[in-house]
Amino acid sequence: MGIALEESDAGTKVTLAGTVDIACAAEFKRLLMRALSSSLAVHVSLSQATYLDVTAVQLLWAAEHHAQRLGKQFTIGDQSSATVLDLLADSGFPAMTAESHAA
Amino acid sequence: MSTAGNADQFKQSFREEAREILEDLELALLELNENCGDLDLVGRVFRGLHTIKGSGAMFGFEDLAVFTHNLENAFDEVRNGRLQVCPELIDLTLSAVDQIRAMLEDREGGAETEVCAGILARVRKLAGLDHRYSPAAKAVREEPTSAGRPVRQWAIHFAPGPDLLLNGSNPLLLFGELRQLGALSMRASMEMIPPLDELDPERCYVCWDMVLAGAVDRDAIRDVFIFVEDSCELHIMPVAGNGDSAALALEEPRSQSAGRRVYDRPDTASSLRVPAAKLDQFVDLVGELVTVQARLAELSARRDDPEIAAVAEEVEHLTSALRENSINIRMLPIRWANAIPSSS
Repeated sequence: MGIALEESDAGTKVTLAGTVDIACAAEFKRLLMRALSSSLAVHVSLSQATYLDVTAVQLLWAAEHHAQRLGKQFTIGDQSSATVLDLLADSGFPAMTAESHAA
Repeated sequence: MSTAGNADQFKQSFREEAREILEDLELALLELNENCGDLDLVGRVFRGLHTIKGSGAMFGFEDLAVFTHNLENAFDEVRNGRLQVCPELIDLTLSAVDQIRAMLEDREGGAETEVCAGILARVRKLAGLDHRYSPAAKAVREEPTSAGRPVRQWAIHFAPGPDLLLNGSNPLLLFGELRQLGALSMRASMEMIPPLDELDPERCYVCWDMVLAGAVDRDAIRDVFIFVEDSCELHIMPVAGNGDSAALALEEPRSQSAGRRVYDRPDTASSLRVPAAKLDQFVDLVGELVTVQARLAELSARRDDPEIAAVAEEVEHLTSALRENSINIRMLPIRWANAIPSSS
């Protein structure tokens, strides 16, 4: 379990690893807020994540909409995240893709 | 209380509930030993094992869940007429109950691994599970079958309460349980998720609408939610007609999504001052409704019409809930009624 933040001129990358659940939900929210306040582009990588619970999905959903309101770019996942995203789709969650919301 | 503290508390609650279920299981097994052909007893044993397995997995007792799953499968074979109840099955299951009890206590010298493995091997051989539940047979088993019981479609609305996650429950694990009952399609409603800066990260805002198709009754579905039912909104309704109705159940957003859930209303709106005479009248009307519902059930039993039967069953369920509610409302303690502020 872990959440890492990588800030660069191009934007901020948030990397989720292992199980991301309620135990780290508060920290995940804090890092998302920080990333969205300091960067024009935020990417959340799920390639090292093995499981996301409801709290993580809610935060990603809210962050995506928050970015839209701020006119920032927000992308989630990539091809290597297919397994985690499939698990979420099995639980009825709407698709969260790597499509960007352009500024 | 911390998340971990809540989880421990609810693990303890599960232990207490499971001990009661195990006691009932033992009684049912002893009765079954005397009445091997009693399918009600078989169903009681199956439901007990199913509940312990499902809830055990949900509260982190994985070993217990895996162990119990095999026993549950054996009694599923009995329910489906593929296995006869015999003294050996009863003895093995009673021994297994002892081991489950030890697993619950989660202490050194509890469940004995070799004994558990021995019990499982004998149960699997007796019930032919090694063949039937092999990977090759799994795909066939997971398809809902109409053999013996009709396949029905159920619309399920599940809205976890705000503290469900803090209590150590994981709604996503419940869906795996539901999938064991039949074909499940579902849609998560995200409309209640607030803006990021207002979002409480440990609270559940998502609710689900599902359609389950399987040879199961309402109680079997309700059993899946048994440990979270008090902290969620749960509606299980039979889907009448064809698959189009089921599809609509998933596609149409519930009107409630636009507003706030019942438990979101401010506390100030949770009490009402109602004259006792009106409450009496309400209870009388519910009494009359119960009588009419009984007539409807009798009429439905005389007619071989599945659609009428489905409606009658739903009316019975709602009437029962309404009756229970009305009794609870009428029996409010006086000190509580006095605490309601006067409107004047």
